Amino acid sequence: MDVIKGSEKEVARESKIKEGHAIERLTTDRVVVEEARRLIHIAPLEKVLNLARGYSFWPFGFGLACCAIEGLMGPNDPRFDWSRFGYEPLRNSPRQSDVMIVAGTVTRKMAPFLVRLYEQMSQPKWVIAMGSCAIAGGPFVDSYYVVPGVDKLVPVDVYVPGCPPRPDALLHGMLLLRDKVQGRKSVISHA
Amino acid sequence: MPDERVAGRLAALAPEVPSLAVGEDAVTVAREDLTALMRFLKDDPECAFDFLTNLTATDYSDHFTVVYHLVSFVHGHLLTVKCDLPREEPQIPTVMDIWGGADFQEREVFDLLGVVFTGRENSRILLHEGFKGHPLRKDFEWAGGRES
Repeated sequence: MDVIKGSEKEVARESKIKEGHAIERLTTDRVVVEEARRLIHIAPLEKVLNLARGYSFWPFGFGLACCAIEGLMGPNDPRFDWSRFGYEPLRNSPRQSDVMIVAGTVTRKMAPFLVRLYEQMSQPKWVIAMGSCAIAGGPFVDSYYVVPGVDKLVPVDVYVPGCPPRPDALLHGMLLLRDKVQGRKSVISHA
Repeated sequence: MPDERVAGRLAALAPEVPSLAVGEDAVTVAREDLTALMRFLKDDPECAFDFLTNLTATDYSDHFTVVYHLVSFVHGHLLTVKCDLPREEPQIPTVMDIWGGADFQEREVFDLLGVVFTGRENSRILLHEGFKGHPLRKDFEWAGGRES
């Protein structure tokens, strides 16, 4: 996987911050400085919260078609087991979840309900578009009643392509979302 | 062919329902006689079609055909009833008062083909109320969602 995590510039900036740890203003004792560097990290509170958010998504299962089997049931089972990553509680209420996994074909009649449920989710919230249908209408894009992609309705953070994608692919998508939430640069290029 | 007992009862009914025609795979009837025939099939103890498994319709471009699939749990036999409708005036009496399960299926046929069931309220079931046209009609034209 050609995932690029952080440019060289960022790595350099981070090490610079580490060099100038606040403990050095208080003491020059090498032992104390080393231990403080190891144990005490100074960062905005939001960064700490994002660390927690990224490791404990509560997905909201929006299963609309066959993708629900691969994307909502599959990762739940012991073979794929997304609770390894902390994504265990698949909620059925938008108010208790922060990631909406749109798994399946969105019809025009379903569209207003999808938007309403998205609006009912509390901030911060993210959306994963799973499968060809949720990404762009899939094989049904030319029919009279299919929305050509869920990004026409709500902002999408991660697209997981496939028809349907395997549970591994969804897990990869969740991990990419984790990187996004925790502020690491995460870009996939197949060029 | 219908079950022998059913065929016998239908032959006895034929004088009362002139449009009744017993074919190889289905019984056809005119819509004027539909309610009488259906009521008979439900109530007659030899037929006793107590369950409507399927109700659907087809657009043959020059006419519609509404199809009823009946089953009798008492005797274990099946029957298909067909009824042709002119395309200009696609109206047919409801069978909801005979088999309550016809409700959603009649609404679906109305929704997708525009066949009006008289004697009941017709409302869409799959598409939203503001949708224009009936998409399973052969002359239905639409613009797909694809972005060029």
